[in-house]
Amino acid sequence: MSPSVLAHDEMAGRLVWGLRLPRILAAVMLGMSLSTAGMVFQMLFGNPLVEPGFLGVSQGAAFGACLGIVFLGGQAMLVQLLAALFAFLGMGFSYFLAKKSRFGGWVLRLVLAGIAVSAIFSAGVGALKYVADPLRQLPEMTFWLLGGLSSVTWTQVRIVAPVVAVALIVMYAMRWRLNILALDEATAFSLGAAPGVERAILLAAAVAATAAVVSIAGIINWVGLIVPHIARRIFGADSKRALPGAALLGGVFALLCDDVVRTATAGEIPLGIVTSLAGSIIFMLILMSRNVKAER
Amino acid sequence: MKALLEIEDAVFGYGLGGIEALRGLSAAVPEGEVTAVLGPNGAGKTTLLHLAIGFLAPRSGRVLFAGKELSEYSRRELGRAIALVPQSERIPFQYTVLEYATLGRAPYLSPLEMPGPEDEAIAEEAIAQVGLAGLSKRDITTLSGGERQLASIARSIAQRPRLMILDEPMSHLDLANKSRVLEILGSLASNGTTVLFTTHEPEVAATSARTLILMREGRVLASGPLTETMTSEALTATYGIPVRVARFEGRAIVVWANGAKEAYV
Repeated sequence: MSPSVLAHDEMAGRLVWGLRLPRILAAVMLGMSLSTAGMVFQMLFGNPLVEPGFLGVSQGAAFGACLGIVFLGGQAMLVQLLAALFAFLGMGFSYFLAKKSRFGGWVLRLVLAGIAVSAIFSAGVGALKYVADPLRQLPEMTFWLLGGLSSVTWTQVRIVAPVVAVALIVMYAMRWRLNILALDEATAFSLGAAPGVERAILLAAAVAATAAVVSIAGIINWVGLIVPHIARRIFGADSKRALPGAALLGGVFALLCDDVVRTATAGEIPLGIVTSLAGSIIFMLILMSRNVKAER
Repeated sequence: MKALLEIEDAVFGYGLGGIEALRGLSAAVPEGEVTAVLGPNGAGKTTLLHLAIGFLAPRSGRVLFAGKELSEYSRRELGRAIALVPQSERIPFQYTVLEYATLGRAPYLSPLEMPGPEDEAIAEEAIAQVGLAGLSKRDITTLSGGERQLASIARSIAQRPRLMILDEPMSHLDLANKSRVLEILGSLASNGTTVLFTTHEPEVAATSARTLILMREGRVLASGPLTETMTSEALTATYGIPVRVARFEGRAIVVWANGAKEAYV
């Protein structure tokens, strides 16, 4: 389609400006947010196998959204708000539990707390599925849990964009610092950092970005795990270059997946299925390659 | 000799109601020298080091650096003054040696700043100083244990600290690497950097340190010039088994009892 068509053909104009453009922006924001947040999570936990859905964030969001669908009428805005709210609650709960528990090191405690909290929320999602109206609510829940951008509107993009922008700027600005925070607590401290405060700021930014995009796109797995790995392969481990690299690759990856989703079949495949499939295949390839490191 | 670091009557315990790791510990680290800390497992050596960098604060007592309490320094000031080489550094990502050594410049940068060419030049210089000059572009996770330890020391040299603290820097190293690390520590001290390290090997302490701190159960049993503290009696009291210090070609060598506790003393 040539650009001049947009000026004359009202239908084409509406299609591009009203439907395609917000969706493209949403896909780019989604990929950038999940990948950047993934990089931040992996570095803060000193573990390359962590992703933004960690710490009960994804399952929290899923529970919040399902709650909105089943009990509060399923109005889009409300569902989003609840998803974002419960994403933060999930993380807060995991963090609290990790602080309270007396077992192993800090990272292990966080991992275990995240698993426990995720399990509680996923039990909650199961219960909500069980009580949901199978004709009206269940399809909506399933659709949300599989993730996708087909119903994204300008209003949603406008609400989410500022949150994503601020969070991305914070993570980008502190990107070299992440290297220091990836070291042991005492070492980071000895290098003049205030690990507690700085980690909290970065963690909040990563969860905010994740919660924002998950609220409009539903659960999108694997992007946040895989893209940072590929970015490190291409740009090196130093997050000074790897973090912007991950943001760029993530934006491109999500946009490509969303294009496949739209065009591969006559209908729409949920985006989460495509990212999971593509992501897990890449993951297997990485696992089989020689130099994978998973310490701690 | 003036003390750069002084710990006065420090008490510290992990957790609430836990047993105290340090029970009224006092020690002084003289400026511009190498000081070694010896003591059995669980004596509180690492706790002492964490107190010395300000990572842990004593429940009571004081820790002074250059005459001022650690709490009077800002985080960055302290980062520029005191460096830490931990016992075995966990490096989860595949940094190059240069990227890793450049992390030592962090206390000279704000949380939003990136290291510049001059920071990298300082890191390169530190890498050369520990003898890894040819490896600065290598993936650090592919280095040997000894080379990694040297890279950690390079990172701390790039920090340009007045006091360098090392937690068992020689454990897991072969003899050649041990002697290399000792040589580096010696040259740091002769260039005015104060060095404090812990070790499980009295001979390592005897070879490199001028001052010795002997610890047991969270207290200092003895401290002072090596010539006065490196004695059979003091080491026997420190480790709780018969230990004898002998001399061989001007160096102290240490002989200890086997499980049957045969009488050396």
